[in-house]
Amino acid sequence: MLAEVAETAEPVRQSLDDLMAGYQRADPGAAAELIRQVSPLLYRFLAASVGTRVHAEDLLQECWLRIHRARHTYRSGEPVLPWLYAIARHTRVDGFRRRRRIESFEIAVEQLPEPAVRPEGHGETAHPPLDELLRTLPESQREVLLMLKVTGMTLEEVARATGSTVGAVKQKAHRAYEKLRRGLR
Amino acid sequence: MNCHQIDELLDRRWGRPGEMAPREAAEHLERCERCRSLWQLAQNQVSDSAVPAAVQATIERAVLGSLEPVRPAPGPGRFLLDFLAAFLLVIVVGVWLTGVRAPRVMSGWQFAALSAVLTAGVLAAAASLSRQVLPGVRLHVNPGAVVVGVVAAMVSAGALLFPWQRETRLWWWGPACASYGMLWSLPATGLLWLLMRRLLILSPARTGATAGLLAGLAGATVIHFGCASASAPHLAFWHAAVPVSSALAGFFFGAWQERRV
Repeated sequence: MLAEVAETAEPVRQSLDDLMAGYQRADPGAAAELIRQVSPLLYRFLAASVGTRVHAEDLLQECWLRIHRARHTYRSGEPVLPWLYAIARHTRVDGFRRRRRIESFEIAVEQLPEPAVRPEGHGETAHPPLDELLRTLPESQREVLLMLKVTGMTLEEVARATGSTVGAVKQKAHRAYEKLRRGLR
Repeated sequence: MNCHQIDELLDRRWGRPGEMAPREAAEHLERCERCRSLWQLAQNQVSDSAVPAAVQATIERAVLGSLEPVRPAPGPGRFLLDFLAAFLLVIVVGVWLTGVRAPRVMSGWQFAALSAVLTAGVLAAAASLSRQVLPGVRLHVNPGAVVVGVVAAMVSAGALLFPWQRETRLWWWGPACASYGMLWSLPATGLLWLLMRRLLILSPARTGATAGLLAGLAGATVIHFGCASASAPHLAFWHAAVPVSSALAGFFFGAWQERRV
């Protein structure tokens, strides 16, 4: 019963493989299409963890520069999303470090920055938006849930992206579910 | 179905908004408010993900403006062989210049057992390193556990396989022996750097520690062949100090690189 999960994301991933191969061959059409398909996913992932929209946009651009420099490290036949997210994840971590260092020299101002995320609504529930609840989770758990939620990656793929084991990813996800359950009461 | 099974289901369905719960899950969700809330939450959208057109255009311009064909990097298996070849090169030169004295002071099985521990450590470190230099490749073992495990195995082998005899030269011969081993870890470090420089190191501290361990094992292997001591304190402390120091140096160098970002 549980195994009958429909693999809706599969055709998209297949085409990502082809686009990535075209990108490595310097096919401009494939590169542009890859950017168009992947940027929203990466942007959503990056925006969910940082303070402002501008910062998320900077990180997205930096992330693409890193992807571009490291495109030879993708091997045909391997899943594309874990490769991309492994790079995005470290772009975000480095961005966080840099930001923390800059903030240590800055003086706080009264005006608050523009929020990075704008919830689309809570559906039919009275819960706080998912984004808000995700922000209450520890970084490692939030990251795992974002990858599962934003891209629909499997546990195996999240493990590849985070340089971790499937067991460790599953443990983080389940701890996050438990924290979210408590937060929803 | 229980809460834990709902978690298992969410592992597979978290990214699929609007999906109906299977019948068994629906029964549990009806009864359990906490799980029902979590399930509803998983149906929510994360956020608006539209990338501003100007940002998208900037990225496309930057990428397409410098688009050149690249040759895909080989897989982790090829890097494993490269790292082992670099290791062997240092060992062959090191042992040739240093000489072989250990078999004269150790029994055959002691020498074989210590060699087996070193070989296993080298294979584990090289395998771990070969998977860390390519993004998105699954790690079977935590790299930190590899470093700790290899060092623990070396210390245990030295402490358990050799006699704890009084070593009068421990405090002057020991540091000299370890320094000599560290000297041989330097060319190994250089060769590893040459092999890794075009790859993407995502966690410099972690990868630095593993590369340092492998380079340190090259130095430890040279003194394993060339050192004429078979006492437990010397082998368990000073010989193991070579990969420990080298791994620590790699870790701190990597951490420094991370902070420079």
